Amino acid sequence: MKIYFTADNQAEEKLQKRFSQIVDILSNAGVLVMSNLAQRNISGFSSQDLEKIERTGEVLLERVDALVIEGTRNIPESGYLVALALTHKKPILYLLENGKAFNKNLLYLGKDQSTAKLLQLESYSDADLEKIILDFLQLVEKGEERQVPSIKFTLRITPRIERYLRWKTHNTKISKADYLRGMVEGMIDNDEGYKKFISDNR
Amino acid sequence: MLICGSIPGLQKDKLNEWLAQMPEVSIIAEIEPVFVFGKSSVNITPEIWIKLAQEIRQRIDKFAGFVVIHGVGNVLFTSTALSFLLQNLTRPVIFTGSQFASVSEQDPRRTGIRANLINAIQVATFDLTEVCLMLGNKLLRANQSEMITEESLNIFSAPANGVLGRIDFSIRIFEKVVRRNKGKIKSFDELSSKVEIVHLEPMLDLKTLAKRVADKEGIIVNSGDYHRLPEDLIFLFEKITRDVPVVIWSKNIKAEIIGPKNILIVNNMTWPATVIKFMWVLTQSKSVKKTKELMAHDVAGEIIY
Repeated sequence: MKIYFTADNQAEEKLQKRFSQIVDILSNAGVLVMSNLAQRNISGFSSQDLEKIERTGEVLLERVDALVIEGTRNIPESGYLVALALTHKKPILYLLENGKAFNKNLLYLGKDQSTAKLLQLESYSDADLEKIILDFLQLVEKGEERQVPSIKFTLRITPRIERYLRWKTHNTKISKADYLRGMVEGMIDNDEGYKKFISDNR
Repeated sequence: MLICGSIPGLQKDKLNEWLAQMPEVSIIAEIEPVFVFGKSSVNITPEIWIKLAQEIRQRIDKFAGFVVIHGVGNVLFTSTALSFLLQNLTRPVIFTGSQFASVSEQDPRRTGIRANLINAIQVATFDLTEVCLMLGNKLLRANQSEMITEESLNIFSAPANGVLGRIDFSIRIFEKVVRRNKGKIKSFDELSSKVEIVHLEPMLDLKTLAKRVADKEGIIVNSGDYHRLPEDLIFLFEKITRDVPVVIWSKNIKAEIIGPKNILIVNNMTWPATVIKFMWVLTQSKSVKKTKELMAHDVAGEIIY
C-alpha cells in the first residue's frame, strides 16, 4: 500500500517529532510512505513509472492508495490535495491535535453525502494517534476502491507454468490473471503469520 | 470562473447547482461563476474573445485569479487572444477543459473536467501574471502551446520555457520561466478583422486572392512545408499589395531570400500566436515599418527563443 503523507515542514520541533511518529506508524504497518517532509517524496515510484506518469499526463496522487494530512499547522495546499484526492476517489485521513478546530469547509465536506465516505476528520491525542491511523489503514484496505485490482506489475513465467495455467482455465470463464489473483487471495486468507502481523499492527 | 462553451449538464441559469455537484472545489477557493458563451466552443469568434477579455478586465481587481472553462479544440486561439487583449496582466488567467468529449461510466477514471478544474483553480490562486493552459499534469504558457497527437492527458505541449509548472503530488511552479509583470494591466477591445489568411497550396488562385486582399489591412500566409514562395505570389505582394504588411509564417523559409520590404517572415511563434498578434498589431499601426517592429517585439511572452 502506498500513502502520501503531508504536513507543515516548517512546523516547530514538537510537531516535527509527531510527524515522524506518524510516518513510523505507517511504515511499521507495512505501508510505503511518501511525504513532503522527505527530500525525494517520489521515492515510491520507479524511474520507469515516473516517466510513464509524466508522459500520460497523470498526477502522482492517482497512483497512491490514500492521503494522510496532519493539519495542526495550516498547510496552504491541503485544501487542494483534499479536493484532488476526492476527485480521484482516494480515502483521506485529516488529523488535528486535540483542541484545534477543523476548517468549516472541511467540516462541510465531512458531512456531504458524496465526499463524507472518503474523508475522515480526526482529532487525536498521543494516546489514540496510533489507533486512529491503524483503523484508517484497515478502512483503506477493505474499502470499496481497494477491491478493484488496479496495481500492475510484470510477471515473467516459464512455459511450464503457462501451460498449467492454460490447462487450469481452459473451458472456464475465468482468465489466467483471475486464477492467479484467486490463488493469492486464498494464500492471504490462510497465512497465519500474515494475520498475526496485521493484528500486531492494529 | 468563466464558462466559455457548452458543458454537458450545465445550463446558464443553473450554474450554482452545477458547482454544488463538486463540493470539493469550495475548499480551495471561493468561486463566482460567470456565463460568457453557451454554445459549443467551436462557434467562438473574435467577438467572444473580446467579450471574455472584457468580463475579466472588469473584475481584475476583485479576484485573485480567473479560470476559463473552454472546449479544447480551439482553446489555443481563445487563450492566445486573451494574452494579447489583456497585456501586462496582474492576475493568472487559467484555461482548462476536458480532454474527453463526454465522460461515460465506462471511463474508469470518470474524472472528466473535474481534476483539470481543481488543478486550474489551485493555480489561479498562485502569484502568476500570465494566460496559461492547465490540462493533464502540466501548466503551459498558452501563447507558446501547440496541440499534440500523443495518447495522453497532456494534449498540449510547449517548449521548455513555456512549461510554467508541473504536478507531481503538489503543483510546482518553475519560477525561472514565469513572467513577472509590473505596473497596470493594458487591455484592448479590438483586433483587426481585415486580415486575409492564406494557406499556401498549389490550388491557390492568385487572381482571386488579388481581388480579396484589396480592402485588407494585412495578409498572413501559412506556408506549410514550402521552402520558397511561388514567384507569382511574391510579385503580387511586391507590385499589387506593396503598402500592405504581409506576414509569412514558416518553419522553412529564410528571411534573406524574400525581396519585398512589406514581407516579414515569422518562425519563432506558434500559428495562433502569429495570426492573433498580427490582428492586434494592425490595430496599433498600419505602417509596414511599425508593424514589422511590433511583430518582432515580445509582447506577451509569445516569442519562442
